[in-house]
Amino acid sequence: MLSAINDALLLLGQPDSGILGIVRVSLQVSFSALLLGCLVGLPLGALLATESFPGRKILIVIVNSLMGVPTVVVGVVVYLLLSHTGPIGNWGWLFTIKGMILAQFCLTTPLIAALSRQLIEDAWIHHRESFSALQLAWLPRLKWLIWDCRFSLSIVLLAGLARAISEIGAVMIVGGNIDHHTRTMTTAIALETSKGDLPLALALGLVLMSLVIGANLITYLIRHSAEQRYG
Amino acid sequence: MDKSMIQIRDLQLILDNRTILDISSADIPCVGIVACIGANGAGKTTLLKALHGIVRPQQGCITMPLQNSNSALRSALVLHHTPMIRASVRTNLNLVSDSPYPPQAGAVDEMLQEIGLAHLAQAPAKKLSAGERQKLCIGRARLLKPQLVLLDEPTANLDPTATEQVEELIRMLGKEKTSVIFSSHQLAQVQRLANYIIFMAKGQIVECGTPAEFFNNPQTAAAKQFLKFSGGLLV
Repeated sequence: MLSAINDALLLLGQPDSGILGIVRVSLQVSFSALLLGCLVGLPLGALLATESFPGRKILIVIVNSLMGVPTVVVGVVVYLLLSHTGPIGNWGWLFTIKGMILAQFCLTTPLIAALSRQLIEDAWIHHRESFSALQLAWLPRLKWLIWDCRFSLSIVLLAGLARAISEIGAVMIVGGNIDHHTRTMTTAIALETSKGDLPLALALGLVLMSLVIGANLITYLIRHSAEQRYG
Repeated sequence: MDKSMIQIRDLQLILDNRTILDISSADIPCVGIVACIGANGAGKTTLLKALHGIVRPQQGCITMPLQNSNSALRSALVLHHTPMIRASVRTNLNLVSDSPYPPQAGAVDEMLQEIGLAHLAQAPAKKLSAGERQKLCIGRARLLKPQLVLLDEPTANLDPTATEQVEELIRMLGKEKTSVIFSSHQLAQVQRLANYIIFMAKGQIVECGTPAEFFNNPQTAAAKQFLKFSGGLLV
């Protein structure tokens, strides 16, 4: 085991294009999915937090439930959508990075929407009257609520990133784990472990852990300094 | 219809089976500084919110005076407690830029100067004192260029210095030909600022008049009792 760790560290000291490519694909897919998830999830969470409309409660239950859907189930659904006979099969996204982003987008959006709804709802209770007094329309209200909650929402983004970068089921099914094309850190770790190439699996695991810890650390520092400044 | 009067007719607002407002008929002058006084729970705050339109009564109507262009009178409401968003003083003031009446370019900077908060423009609004917050809120209301400013207990919980500063801002509004209706529990302040008083009890406007009329010769038992226990009865 010690020699495997040693070899993993050596690999990381002189990373080849294969490792760098895997890391690049992982980051590209996860950050794209996170960005798109934020663009849809944050306004959706804010809408559910601030507006009253028929079916709102049912929608909240659905969004909350989707947070816990197994990644492989999402993978299968997206696979069926993108397969030749699927409704969007003609897009040609199956076994491509775009397809993987779509799958992870389906994973991150409900999580971001559900968590942000709770945070924004608390802020809305706080600001409701003053925003109404200023006669702010729906969109400016959402903008300022999200702005007010931005430090708390950083935790939501972190949760979304963790959900995306650490999942294996959806990207394995939709991406196909094709070498130099759709192979991510998680799918590569699973494959290399099954092949017995523990140093590479460990090296990618260390990169993955470093990224998650680094993202947490940066978020903590930004949030801490901002909260000290703005209260 | 008197063009300087806010007309209230058959107004009723019930929340959780409790009558909050029940005003059969009242005319409130929309000129100068009007004080709305009464005990806790009399309906002062709800009346201000109804006048601003953020509370919808179940029945009755409030008719605001028309302006020159026959458009409805523009009001601004400053709540008793206005939470700040986690941002600078300038950003909190800038919230009005997303209102239906955005201020002109440079107006925010001018207002920061006028309300004496220019040196705190970049400071976090959450760290302002209660008096500074109130000045910010009044400044924000003024940026909307309203013809009527509604202030809900504008100097509650303020020290004498901050109270004086906020009262000066209210006087300034009066000088700008902006009508002011404010609620207050401080009868001395009402005497200092108001040129008309409406007295509320149990959701009703039970008495109106000039400060001299109200303080020297209250007509109703409710007003007499209120003044007696508030130490405001001068006769």
